[in-house]
Amino acid sequence: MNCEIRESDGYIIASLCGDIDLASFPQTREAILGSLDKGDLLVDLSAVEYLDSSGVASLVEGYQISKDKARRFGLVSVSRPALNVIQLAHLDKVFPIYNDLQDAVNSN
Amino acid sequence: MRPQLKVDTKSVEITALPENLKQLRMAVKETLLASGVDASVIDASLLSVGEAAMNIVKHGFDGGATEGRITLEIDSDQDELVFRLLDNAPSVAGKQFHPRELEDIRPGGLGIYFMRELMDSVEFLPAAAGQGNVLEMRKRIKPE
Repeated sequence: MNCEIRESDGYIIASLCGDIDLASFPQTREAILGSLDKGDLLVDLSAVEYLDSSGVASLVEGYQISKDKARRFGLVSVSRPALNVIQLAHLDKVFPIYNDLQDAVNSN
Repeated sequence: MRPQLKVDTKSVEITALPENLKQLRMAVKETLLASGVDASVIDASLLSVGEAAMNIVKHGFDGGATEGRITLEIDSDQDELVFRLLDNAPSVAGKQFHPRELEDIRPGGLGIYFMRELMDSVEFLPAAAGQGNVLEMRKRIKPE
């Protein structure tokens, strides 16, 4: 998994890609938690081809830490495989999910 | 007459390390693509096999072990896809595994829930020679 982290419109954007599984768990967790140290976070899942429960765990942990730190947290451009898993866990009703960055910015 | 599910039997063995889990998922994908089952069945099977294998690496081999072996067997039985994961980890016979409640929003514990939600059956079989573990998952394919 490669992860690109950038800043735009007042958010840190962490773009995850490829397979988000146990092998990529340390990098995924670091990308999410490290970004939340710096500011409000949007996790771009547009290039995620596979997401398992370890990846979901990193997203849940990020969501909870964002609450503790009073940061904004959301998912943007969620790929179909990732969305299927998030819906299966009923987390689509928990995570803020946006079509794209502009959608997230407009929601403020 | 119901059409018979046709799957080429496949067996893949990996060393029980996180970076090898993708090999098992690729075997599932290639085999099921060749069988012509729906994309939704492929996705469900990929996630279930992936979660089962991940649990073996995480819990059976404490995150990974070079001496650990996981074998995935892909087969069919009438109208069911059959996935068997065999490992040489310490036996889990007699242990109970419970998925967590979805209302409890916390990291972890979702893998067993995913497997049970997506497969028609998930059960441990007696291991040959009483060593290691055999997990069998079955997914019924509805006729068109």
